[in-house]
Amino acid sequence: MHEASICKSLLEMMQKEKEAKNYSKIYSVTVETGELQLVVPESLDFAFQALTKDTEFEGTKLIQKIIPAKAICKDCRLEQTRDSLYSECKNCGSFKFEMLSGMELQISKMEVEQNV
Amino acid sequence: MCNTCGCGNTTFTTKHKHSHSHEHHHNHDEVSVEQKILDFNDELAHQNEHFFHDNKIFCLNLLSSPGSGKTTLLEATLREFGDQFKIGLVEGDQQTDFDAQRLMKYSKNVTQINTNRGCHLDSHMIHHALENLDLENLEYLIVENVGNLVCPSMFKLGEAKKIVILSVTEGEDKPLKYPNAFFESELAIISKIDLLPYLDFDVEKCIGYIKQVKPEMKIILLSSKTLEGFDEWKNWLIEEKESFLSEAMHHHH
Repeated sequence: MHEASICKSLLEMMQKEKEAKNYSKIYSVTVETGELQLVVPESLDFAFQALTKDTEFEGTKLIQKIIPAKAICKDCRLEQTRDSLYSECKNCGSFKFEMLSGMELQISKMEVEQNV
Repeated sequence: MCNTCGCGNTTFTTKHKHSHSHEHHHNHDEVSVEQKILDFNDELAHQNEHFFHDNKIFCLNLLSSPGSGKTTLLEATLREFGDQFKIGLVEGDQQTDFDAQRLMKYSKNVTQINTNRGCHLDSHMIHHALENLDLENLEYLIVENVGNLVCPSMFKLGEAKKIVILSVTEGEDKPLKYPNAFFESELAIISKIDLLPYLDFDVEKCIGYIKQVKPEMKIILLSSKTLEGFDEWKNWLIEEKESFLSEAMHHHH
């Protein structure tokens, strides 16, 4: 349900970028979400469709990319993927990790029409 | 209209009709952006954090499911330590000011935020909640977030620490079912332990699950009814505030 407020922030950012860089149109926006982040892609998509209706961003495509969760075990230093925040080290069984990726929530790129 | 955050400026322009002819040239480009989507919230949270540093206010953000005993813990905390610590409270709920009313019996420094449709507090709400508090008389600001173990953990408020509360009536597997709230917190409180004799709640298993998500988590078991564990809770409040203050001194911007 917090996907709606995430989407609001996303649209505010798109609007700021559009104004700052003087784009005439945003065709698509690519959002990268970490695998272990609390965002449901379907819910974000739904919020995006609902919140862009009848606005300048109606018709803009939302492209979502999931970033796999990677971490280094703090005990044996093995770098590995993690499928949850409570999964153990595949090598030594430790639960102490330094997360390298998997918690992102960011815009990575946009397809735009530039005014010349 | 708020100068710091510019609120009231968030409406989108409605789609304009393309009446102009397309004589000018357009370039269709892909541009890289790389911006965190919650930057707006995080920036305001950072400003709140600065404010708390400068005014020596130790701010805590309480996360839990509805009914875990957050408000009861705060009532008992005000009753027991209210004359020794200057505590202010922000109560977050979807609707009603029932919690603020309960706590106002013990302190005047209480304000309620109703999120209505929202499932979490954000840094903007906290920024404005500060207008309703007596900041001169404040050492601890405890924010009781909306009862929800999912959404609030994503939104920083400017707090020094997050605390997650889990009551023994909820079942010991909550830390694995809702790991993000535990992952983000630095203290886990297991509450309502006076009920343990009547339940099958496995304390050791629960602690094991918490440590699976966060091996370095500090864990306090307590009962707001019998006050068991309250010495440890009080010590935690004193020690963590002290280390926050010495950090604030050394890390002055």
